[in-house]
Amino acid sequence: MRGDGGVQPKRAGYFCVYTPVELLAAAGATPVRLFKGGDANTVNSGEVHTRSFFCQFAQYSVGAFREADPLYRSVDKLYHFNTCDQMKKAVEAIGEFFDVPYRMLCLPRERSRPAAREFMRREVEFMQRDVEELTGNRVSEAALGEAIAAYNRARRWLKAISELRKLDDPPLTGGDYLELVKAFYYLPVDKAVAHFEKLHARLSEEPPTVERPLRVMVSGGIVADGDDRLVELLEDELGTRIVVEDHCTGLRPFYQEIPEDLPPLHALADGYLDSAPCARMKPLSERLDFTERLAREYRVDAIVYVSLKFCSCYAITGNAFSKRFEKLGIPVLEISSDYSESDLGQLRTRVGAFLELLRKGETDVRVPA
Amino acid sequence: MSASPPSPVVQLARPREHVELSQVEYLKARTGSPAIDRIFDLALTYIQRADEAHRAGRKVVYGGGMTDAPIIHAADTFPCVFPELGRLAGDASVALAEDHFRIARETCSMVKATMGELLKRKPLFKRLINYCSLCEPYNAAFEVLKDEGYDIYSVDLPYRPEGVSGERFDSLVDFAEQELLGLATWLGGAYDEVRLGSEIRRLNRLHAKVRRVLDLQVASPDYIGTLETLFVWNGANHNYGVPGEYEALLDQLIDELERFAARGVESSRVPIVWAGGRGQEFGLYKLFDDLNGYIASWTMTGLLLRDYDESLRPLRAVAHNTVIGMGGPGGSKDQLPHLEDAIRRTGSKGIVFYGYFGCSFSSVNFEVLKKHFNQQGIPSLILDGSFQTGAPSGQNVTRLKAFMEMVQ
Repeated sequence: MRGDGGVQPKRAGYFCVYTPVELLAAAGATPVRLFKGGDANTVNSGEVHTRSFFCQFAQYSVGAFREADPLYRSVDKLYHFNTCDQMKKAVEAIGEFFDVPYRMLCLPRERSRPAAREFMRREVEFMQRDVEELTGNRVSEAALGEAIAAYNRARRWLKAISELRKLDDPPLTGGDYLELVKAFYYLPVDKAVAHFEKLHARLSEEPPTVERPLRVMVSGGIVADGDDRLVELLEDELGTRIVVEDHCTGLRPFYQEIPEDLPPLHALADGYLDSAPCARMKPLSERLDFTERLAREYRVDAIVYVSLKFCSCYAITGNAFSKRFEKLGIPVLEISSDYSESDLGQLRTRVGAFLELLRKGETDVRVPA
Repeated sequence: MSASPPSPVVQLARPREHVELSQVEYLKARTGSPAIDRIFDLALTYIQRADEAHRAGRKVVYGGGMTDAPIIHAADTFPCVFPELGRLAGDASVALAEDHFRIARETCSMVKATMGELLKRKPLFKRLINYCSLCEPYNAAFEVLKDEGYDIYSVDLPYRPEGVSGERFDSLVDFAEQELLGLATWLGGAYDEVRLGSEIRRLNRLHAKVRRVLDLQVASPDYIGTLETLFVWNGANHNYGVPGEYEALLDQLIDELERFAARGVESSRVPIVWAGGRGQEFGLYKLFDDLNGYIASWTMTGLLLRDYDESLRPLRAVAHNTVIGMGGPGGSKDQLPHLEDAIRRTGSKGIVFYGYFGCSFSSVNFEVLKKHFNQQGIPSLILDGSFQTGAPSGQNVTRLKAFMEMVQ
């Protein structure tokens, strides 16, 4: 029960940005993205039900339930679109070992095939029925349309704020931007929109400077809430500016909107399939095309490509990524990261050396992981 | 049929000095079973024959170990199952993949070994089928291989979540059918439904014979050993590229086994269910025989031997079987009935779960399944191994020895 005596809305947890939050909201549930990470002890706890060679984010997610993290334990049900094997199996482990109900849904990879479109629509329909059962509320077309519009407003503002980073001396840091992304996932959408709107107005009025810090894109796998060390290293210690993120906790999920001129379920299916792809989607070339587009739009000087240890998608495709940008003359630093504290010194040395070469004008550097 | 019943292979014909042989040497050695010897020959020459078929102008594709088999056979294409490349792959192939593709050391060894081999085989045929929902590292690896000139068709199969049935199950099958139609078209241009129906009936017949071999081994386990049944299994879908000969060898082996069973030889060998991957760490399989045990059921991959439903349209039958038989990458608990059935049928004393270090899905599966069997009082052991040929790790050998001691 809420403090005012009303019934607490159901809390629907999800991990991946391919989950149509609009559907959860339209059913009266509170969507809660579970994307914390960065703590080695929680990872160790999750390893009890996985393996030492499991992705650290997946392990953390299992560990957070095991350690009874209040946010994680507050969810009434998990909704998971089958993105990568490891998160799929992490969700199964959470269901099995901590009795958390979950609904697993399928996400096609070959997104341009007509059969994939039809199938995704059916999966979204199944999700709708499930959410209706969870909340006891029927999702009307009108409510779903409103939810789509509301989340699109939030995406639009986040994209607009991000575009301020196209200036030579951006009025906000990459670290600031990640905080705004957290607001999108943790606040009710209308509150987040109001906040973004005010912030955009304020940042737009910042007087321009003549400075031009080194412009860096961070690309790759998830940068979890709490996994701050690389961002702090790049911006606070080494004086670069992260001007754009090509990962699922930065700009990428907000780059495109859900169509508002289609029947809502159809729009969700198409919209999520058409969103900026992660490395799990096929073909890989489309993902690289998207990253290249971001790199050009934001005039990046270099890319730091981060894959979490044991992440199949980003670790294996890292070389193809680097080769693409090597051809374009954009230097790439590949980093294989985890949530331990022990390699911070090594990370500092590698990133520092990379930036030093860049600043010396040796821009053909490519420092592999 | 020969005049006298054959001798048991494991106890009588297999000399003990073979214990230290490599897998290839083991396959080259004669077992005492003429049918098995020939199946080993087929295994040893399989990749070479695929290359010859290609040079002779025949269509050849990397694929055919899964439910893609009937579609490949129906398209008059030689199926060259890429995990079989693992028999050629040692640590050097793994190192090659790590170096050329800059793949992290912690990546699944099966994927690295295959990529290394495919890199070496670049001048040969280049068509490859990827079943998308089976393995995330392979999905990524095959995208990377496209840059090496490989023509890869990704069959975007749906993942079957645990317990899915009814309308949603039908929806998964609908999607799988569309994707498999795409595969049939990619392989052969025109999809021949009649031919596919005929291949389905043929494979059902073969699968029944493979099951008969395994049942006979359980009834009388001293005639053939663990690696022998593994290679019978392995060929069930791709038939080592020679469907007619493979079927004739199954008939011959069934005859040998029946005649051996008729002798009523008592056996003290302990049956164990194997669940998970089938890597090339030959020494582990050999260890079962050496420790007076044997693998009585190759489960999970065994799901691939489920009969196609001949009452359905052929492509629908393949799609249906594909979704049902998703095995390891599907919902963990959906494998329970198959494992329980295997234990019941074979009287097995325990389960060995085997996955490759770095496997993105099997680890949680095994944890979930192990918990269940612990509650049932059925001993189980989880081993993390490597895919490429070579000796098993000492740790795995020690653990398996301790496990076998316990179940005996």
